[in-house]
Amino acid sequence: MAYQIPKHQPVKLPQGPSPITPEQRYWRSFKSPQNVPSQSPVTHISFPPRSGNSQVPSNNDYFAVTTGTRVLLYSIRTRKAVKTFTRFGDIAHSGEIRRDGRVMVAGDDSGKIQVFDVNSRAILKTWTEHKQPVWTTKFSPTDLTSIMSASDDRTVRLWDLPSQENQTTFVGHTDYVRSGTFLPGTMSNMIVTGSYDETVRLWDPRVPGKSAMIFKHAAPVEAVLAMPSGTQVLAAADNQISVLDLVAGKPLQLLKNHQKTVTSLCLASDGTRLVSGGLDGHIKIFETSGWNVVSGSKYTSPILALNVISSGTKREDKHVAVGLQSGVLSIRTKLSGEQKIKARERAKEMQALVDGNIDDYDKTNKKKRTRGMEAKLRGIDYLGEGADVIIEGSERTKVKKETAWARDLRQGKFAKALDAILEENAAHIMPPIEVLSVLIELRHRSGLRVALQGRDETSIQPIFKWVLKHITDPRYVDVCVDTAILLLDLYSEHVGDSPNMAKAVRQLHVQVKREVERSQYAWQVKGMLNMLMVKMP
Amino acid sequence: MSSGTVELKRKRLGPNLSEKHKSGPPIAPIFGWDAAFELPEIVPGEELVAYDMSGQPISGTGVDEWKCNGEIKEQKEETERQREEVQLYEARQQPAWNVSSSIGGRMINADPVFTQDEKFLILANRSSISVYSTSNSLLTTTLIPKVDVVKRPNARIIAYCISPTNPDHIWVAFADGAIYYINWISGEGADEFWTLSSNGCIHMTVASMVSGGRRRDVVFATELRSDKAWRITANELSLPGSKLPSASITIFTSTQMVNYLKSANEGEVLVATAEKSIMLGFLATDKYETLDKIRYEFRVFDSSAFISAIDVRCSIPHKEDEEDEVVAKRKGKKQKQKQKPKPIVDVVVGDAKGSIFVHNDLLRNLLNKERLKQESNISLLPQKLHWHRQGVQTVKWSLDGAYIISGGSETVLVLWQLDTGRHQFLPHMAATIQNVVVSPAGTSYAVQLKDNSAMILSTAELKATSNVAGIQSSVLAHEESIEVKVQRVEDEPLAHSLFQRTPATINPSDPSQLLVAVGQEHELHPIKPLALKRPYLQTFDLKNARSVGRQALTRSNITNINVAPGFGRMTEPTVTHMKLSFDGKWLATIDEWTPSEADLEHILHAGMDGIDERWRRREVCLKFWQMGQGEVWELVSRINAPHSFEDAAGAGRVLDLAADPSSTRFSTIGDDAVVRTWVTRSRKRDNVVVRGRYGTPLKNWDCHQSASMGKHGLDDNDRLQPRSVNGCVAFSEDGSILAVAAGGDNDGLLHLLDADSGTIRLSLNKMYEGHILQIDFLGQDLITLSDKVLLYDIAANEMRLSFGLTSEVTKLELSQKLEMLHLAVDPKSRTFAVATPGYAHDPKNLKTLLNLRSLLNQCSHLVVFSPKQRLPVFKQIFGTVITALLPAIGSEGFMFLDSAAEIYTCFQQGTHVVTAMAQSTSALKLEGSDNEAEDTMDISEDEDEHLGFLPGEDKKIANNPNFSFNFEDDETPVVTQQKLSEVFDIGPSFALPPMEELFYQVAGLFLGPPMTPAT
Repeated sequence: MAYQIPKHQPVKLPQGPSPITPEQRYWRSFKSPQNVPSQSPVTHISFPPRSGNSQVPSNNDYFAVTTGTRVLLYSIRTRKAVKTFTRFGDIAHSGEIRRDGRVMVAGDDSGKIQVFDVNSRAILKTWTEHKQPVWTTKFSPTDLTSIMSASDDRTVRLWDLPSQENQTTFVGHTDYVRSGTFLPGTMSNMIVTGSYDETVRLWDPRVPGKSAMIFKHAAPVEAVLAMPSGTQVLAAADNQISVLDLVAGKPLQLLKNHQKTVTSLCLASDGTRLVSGGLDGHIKIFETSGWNVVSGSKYTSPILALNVISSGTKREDKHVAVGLQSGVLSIRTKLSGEQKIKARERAKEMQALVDGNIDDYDKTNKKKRTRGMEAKLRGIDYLGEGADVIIEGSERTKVKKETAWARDLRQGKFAKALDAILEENAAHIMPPIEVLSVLIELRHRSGLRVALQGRDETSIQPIFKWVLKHITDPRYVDVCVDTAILLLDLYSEHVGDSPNMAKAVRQLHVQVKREVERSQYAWQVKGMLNMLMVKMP
Repeated sequence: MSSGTVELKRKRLGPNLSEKHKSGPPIAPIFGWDAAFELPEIVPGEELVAYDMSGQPISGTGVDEWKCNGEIKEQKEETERQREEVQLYEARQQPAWNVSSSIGGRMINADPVFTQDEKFLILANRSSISVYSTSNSLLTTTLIPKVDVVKRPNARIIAYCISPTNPDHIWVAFADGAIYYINWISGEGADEFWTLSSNGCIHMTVASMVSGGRRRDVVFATELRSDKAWRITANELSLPGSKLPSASITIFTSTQMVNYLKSANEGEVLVATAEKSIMLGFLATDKYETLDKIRYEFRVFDSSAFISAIDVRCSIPHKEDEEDEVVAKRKGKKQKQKQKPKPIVDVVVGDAKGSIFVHNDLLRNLLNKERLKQESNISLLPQKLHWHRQGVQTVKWSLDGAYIISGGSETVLVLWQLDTGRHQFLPHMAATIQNVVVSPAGTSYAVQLKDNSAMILSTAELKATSNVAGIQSSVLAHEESIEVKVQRVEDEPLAHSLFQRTPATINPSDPSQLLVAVGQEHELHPIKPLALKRPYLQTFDLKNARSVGRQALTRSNITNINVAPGFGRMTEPTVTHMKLSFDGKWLATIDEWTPSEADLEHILHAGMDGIDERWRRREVCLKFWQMGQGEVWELVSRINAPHSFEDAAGAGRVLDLAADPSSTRFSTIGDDAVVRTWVTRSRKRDNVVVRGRYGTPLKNWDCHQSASMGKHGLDDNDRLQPRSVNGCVAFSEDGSILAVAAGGDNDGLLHLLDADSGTIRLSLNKMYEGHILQIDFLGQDLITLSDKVLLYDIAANEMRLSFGLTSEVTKLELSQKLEMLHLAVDPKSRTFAVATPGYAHDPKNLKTLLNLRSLLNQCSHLVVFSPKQRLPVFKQIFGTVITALLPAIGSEGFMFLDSAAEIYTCFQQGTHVVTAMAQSTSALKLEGSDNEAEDTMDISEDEDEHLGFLPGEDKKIANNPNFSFNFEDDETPVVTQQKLSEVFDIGPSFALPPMEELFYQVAGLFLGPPMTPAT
C-alpha cells in the first residue's frame, strides 16, 4: 500500500502569446531538407492522386517534377531522381503520372501534349490540337484513359488515350487557362478550370458549349483545387484564395493570408489540411473546417509549385516538396519513428568514428543483442537463462525510471541534485526550465541554502553562470534573485580571495543594475500612460 | 507492594436512559452560560441586541416589523405578546428539528486486534468498536457500548482486546474506568459494564490464566489513583451467569504514569512502561485459588529516553540451555529445582529519540544479576538498533522472534532481521505509522496509520490485502504524545487558539459524497495548534461511512524524506477553499503556500520580522478540476496568483470563493479587493476547438471579468497585517446577482453586482458589523454573518432579521472568527444555520489562561433560522468544535463535521434524510442472515463462513433437514446449446410453434427439473 513515486513534473510557466502548437510542431518535424538545384524554375510538382477505390493497388513510387524543358521522376522512398524525360520541343508543363505509375502526361509551350511510358520513356501518344502552350494536363482520378488539358488558346479539352482526337472541347474562357482539375469521386466527369479571364468555370461534358457554373474573381486565377468532398473548390487569384461552394453556387470564404500571388495549392494530411505556396516565398497550412492558418514556413525564393507527398496505406504525409523560382527543388521529409532511431544510431556511429572510439561503440552495441539474435547464435530452442516466470494478476503500471537528480532531490541530497542538473556535458545541456523547476523544488523543500553552501570556487561557477543568464527573464527573476541573495550571503566573505568569484559578482552587479534601470523606464512609461488613461474607462 | 481487594459489580444501565442517549452527539452539560445567540426574551439587558439599519437598538419589537428606512414602530406591550409567542413557538417548532447520531470518527491509537481465525480485524474509535472483514475490508458489524453521556462526559475507549479464554468476546476499556465484555458476534453485553476505577483507566490488557483448575480472563489495568500515583491492578470480573464474585488486587504502584501494559505467556510475565522506566513483572506464586492471592514481582529499570513503544515475547527455554542454573547449582545454592523454569523473556523497546533496544532473555538476566552480584559479568546491555529519525511509534516482535517490525513518523515500515542486522523497508506509507500488529498465524501485519486508516499487509510480499479508511479530517488530540517530550525544531503555532475550518463540500450529483480537504498531520494540540497543511482531497461516502478515495490537490511530500535540512518539517501547501460547481462536474480549489521563516533568515535585517519577505514568496493557486476517468479529479486549469497586487511582488491571498448555483461559474475575491469571475472557455488553438481523447471539446478556465472594490488592497500597511481584512462573495440562487463585501472599516458596505457585466448595481450600508465573515443568499434574502447575523430582503429592500452575537464571540480575534464561525444556507428547507464557538464551561471556572486557550474546553453552538420566523427554529450546543457546516444536499437540513472527525446531520423531522446516518450499523446483513438463512438462496460464500460462528446457527441447520439440500438444489440448471437448438431449430421460421409455446419451452429449460409433488 505504499505510494508510488510520481514522476518529477517540471514547472509550467505561463505561456507566451503564441506558443508552439502541436500543428506547428508537426510541420516543423519535416526535416532533413534536400535541395536539388536546376537551371530553370520548377514549375510543377505532382504525384498521382489517391485512387477513389482503395482496393485498387497503387504501386507507384514516383513523383514528377517539371523544370524547364524536362520532367524528372523522383522516388518517394529514396528522394532520388530516377528518371528524366527531355523529349519536349519547348518548356514543359505539368508532368503528371497516372495513378498506376505506368504512364505520364505532359504538355509544353508549343501546344503539344505527350504521353510517355514511364518505364521505357517512350512516347506513346502526341496530341497537337492545342495551338498555344498547354499549361495543365491531368489524368482522371477514376477513368484510367481520360485526360484533360487546358491551354493558353482559351480552350479546355478532354482526351481519351486510345483515340487520336479529343473527345470534348470546352469553349468559354476568354483568356489563358492556366489551371484545372477533375472533380473527385462520383463527379469526376466534371472539370473545374481557372483562367486569366478572372473566372473559375465548371464544365460538364454532358452540357456542351457552355460552362455549368462560373465564379468571377478579381484577378487572374493561378490555381484551382477540388476538395475531396466534391462540393468545394479552392481557387487562387492574386494573393487570395477563395473557397467556392458548388452546391450553393457561391463563394464561402476568402483567405487573404498571402502577401503576393498564390501560385499553387495542394492538400495534405489526408485532405484535412490545405497547403498553399506563393510568390512571397511562404507556404501556409490551413485547416479545412474554419480555414485558419495553423502553420507556415518561409522559403528563400518565390514558390512556383508545391506538393505534400504522402505514401503508405494510411496516406501519411511524407515529403513536402517545394519548387522555387530559383530552380531549387526543396524536399523536406518526416521520418517515421523507426527511421528516426536509425538516423540517430547512424549519427552516433559517425560521431564515434570521428571521436575515434568506434570500438567502444561497437562493444556497447553488441550488448543490445535481442533475443532473436541470441536464438540465432545458440540455436532456435534457446529461451534465455531460464524461462521467465510470469506472475499473473499483479500488473503494475510501468513507471518511468526516475532520473538520478530527481532521486537525490527526493532523498534530500540537495547539493548533488543541483550539481547534476547544472552539469554541462557536450551531449546534453538541461533546458533552463528543468533547472528552474529544481530550484523551485529546492525552495519548496527549504533546501536552497543547503544545496548552495559548502562549495568551492569551481563548483560555484555554474550556479553563478546560470543565475546571471536568467536573472533578466521575468519568469525566472523570482528564483534567480533568491538564489543570488543566498549566494551573496554564503560567499560574500570569499569574494576577495578569488578572482573568478569577484568577476562573477561584478557581472551580476552590472546585470542587476541594468535590469533595475530598465524597469525604471518601464515604470516611467506606465506613469505617462496612466496620465493619459485617467479619464478612460 | 500494597494489595487490596475491591468488589466490582457490573452495572446495568436503565434501558430508557441508555435509549435516550444512544443516538445524538455528545451534549455538553447545560449550565447558566447560554447559547451564543441571545434572544430578547431570555436574557434582558445589553446582550439583547437587535438593530435596525441605522444602528439604533430596537427594544422589544418584532423583527418582522422593522423597516430599513428607519421607521420603527414602538410597541410597548410587545414583550408580553412575545413571551407567549416564544412559548407557542417552542412548543410547535422545537421538536421539528433533530440531530442524527454520528458517523465517521477517528480510530483510537491502540493496537488493532485480529480475531483468532484472522477473518476479521477489530478497530475502535472514540465510542464504538468496528469489525471489518479482512478479505474485502468491508464493515461487518459495529458495536456501540452504551454510554450515558451526561453522567460520563469523558468516556472514550482507550483499549480493547479479544478475550483469550473466549475468543467470541472482547474486553473494552474506557478512559473513565469502565470495562465492557462484549460478544463481538452477537453484540451482547454492550449495555453492561464494570467500573474498575473511579479515577480513570489508562491502559488495559487481558490474559487467560489457569489456577485451581480453572481458566479465566484476568484483566490487568493501569489506573490513576486518587493520590496522584498510578497503579497496575489485576482483576477478575464476574461474568454474567457466573457465581464467582469479582476480585481485584493492586500488583504494582508507581509515581510515574504507567501508560502501557502488556502481558505474555498467559499472564506469567507483564511489562509496563512509565515515562523512562520499564517495569517487568513475573508471577511469583504458582498456586492461587482466588485472585487476591496472586502475587507479582516487579523489576524496574530505566532507559535513557522516553519510551514510546514496547513489545514482549516469551518462549520456553530448552533443557540444555540452562547453563546458569548449572552454575548456580555448582555454587551449592540448592534452590528452585522444583520450580518450573522461568520463560525466556525478550523485550524490545522503542524510545522517543528513535532508538530501538532489544533485551534478550531479560528476566533471567535481571534475576541472575541480582543473585550473582559479585561476578557481574552478565551484561544487561541491550542490542541497540537505530534507524528512525524520530520517535518509534510502534515496535513488535515477529512470531518466531527473528524479526522486529517497527514504524514511526518517517512513514516507513522497517523490518529488522536480528541475526544479520539487515533491514527491509516498506517506504512511502500515507502517514505516520501508529500501530503494527502481527496476525495470530503470522501471515499478515495490520498497520494503523495516523491518517485514520488501517491496512493489512501480507507478510510475504508486503502487499496490502485490505484497507480501511475513515474520514481524515483533523481532530483534537486528547493526550500528549510522547514525541512532545523530545525537543525538536517546531513549527510556529498559530497566533491565536483556533481550530481551522475544514474545506468541505458535498457533491450535488451524488449527495452521499462528501469531499474534504485533508492533510497528513491529523491531531491538533489543543493549546498550541499548528497551522494545518491540507494537500489532499478525500472523498468520503456518507452512506457507508467509509473513504472511497484520496488524491493530492497540490504537491505533497508523501514520497519525500519529510524532514527539511534545518530539521524542521517540510511544509506542504494547504487547500483553503474548495467549491463544486452546481452540477458537480467541476471542482475549484485554492491552495496557499508560504515558505517557512527559517528559510528567509538571511534576508532579514535587524528588527524586521520577515512577514513581508515571506509574503513576497507566497504561492497561491486557483485550480479547476474535472471529474475524469477512474473517478479521479483531473486538473484542467491552474491559475497562479489569481489575485496579485499590481505594484508589489507576491501573490495575494484569495479570501473567498463562491460557486454559481445556476451555471458553471466561480467567483473569487482576494487581498487586492478585486472580484473576479471565472468561466469555462472551449480550448482553441488557431481558432480550432481542441478535442480530447473521446472527441469532447477541451475546456479552459478563464477570468471572465474583474471588478475592483475599494482601495484597501493598495494600502501597504494593510497588507502587512495578516488577516486584517476579509472579503466575501456570494452568488444569488439564479446566478444573476453577485454580492460582494470587501471588509475594512467601511461601515458595513456591501455591493450587489450584476454577475454578467460586473458592474455595481446597488451598494448597501450597514449590512454587517465589524468584520464580514460570510455572506450567502437564500432566495431573495441576503444573509450576512459578522458580529451580527442579518437577513436582508433584497426584493423588498428591508431588513428581516437581526441577531447579535454575544460578546464571547465578538471579542474573538478576526482569525478566530474566520475559522470558527460558520454559515450555511439550505435552499431545500429554506433555512440557514449558524455555528459559533463558545466555552464548554463557564469561563470563570476555567481558572488558568491555559485552560481558557485550550480547544478542549471549547464547544460550539448550532442555531438554525428560518427567514419566516423571528426566532431560531433549532439550537443546540455540542461539546466539540464544529469545523465545517454544509447544507445536506439531497435532503433538507444541514450536515456538520466536528473536531472529533464525526459527521452529524441536523434535519427536520419527517424529512427524508438521504445522507442517513443509520448506515454505521451495517451489521444488519449479519443479523439478517441469522433469521433468513433458510429463505435466502443466494448466500454468498463469505456468509457461509459466518454461519459457522453464529452459535444459534448450528442448531438451526441440525433441526432443519431441508437446509443442507438447499445448497445443492439452488444451483441454476445448466442449459446447453443443444437443448436450446432443440427448441428453436425445428424448421423454418414460419413453421415454428406459436411464440407462447416457445417461451414456455425455454422457460422450462431454465427452471430446472419440475417440482416433484410431495409424497
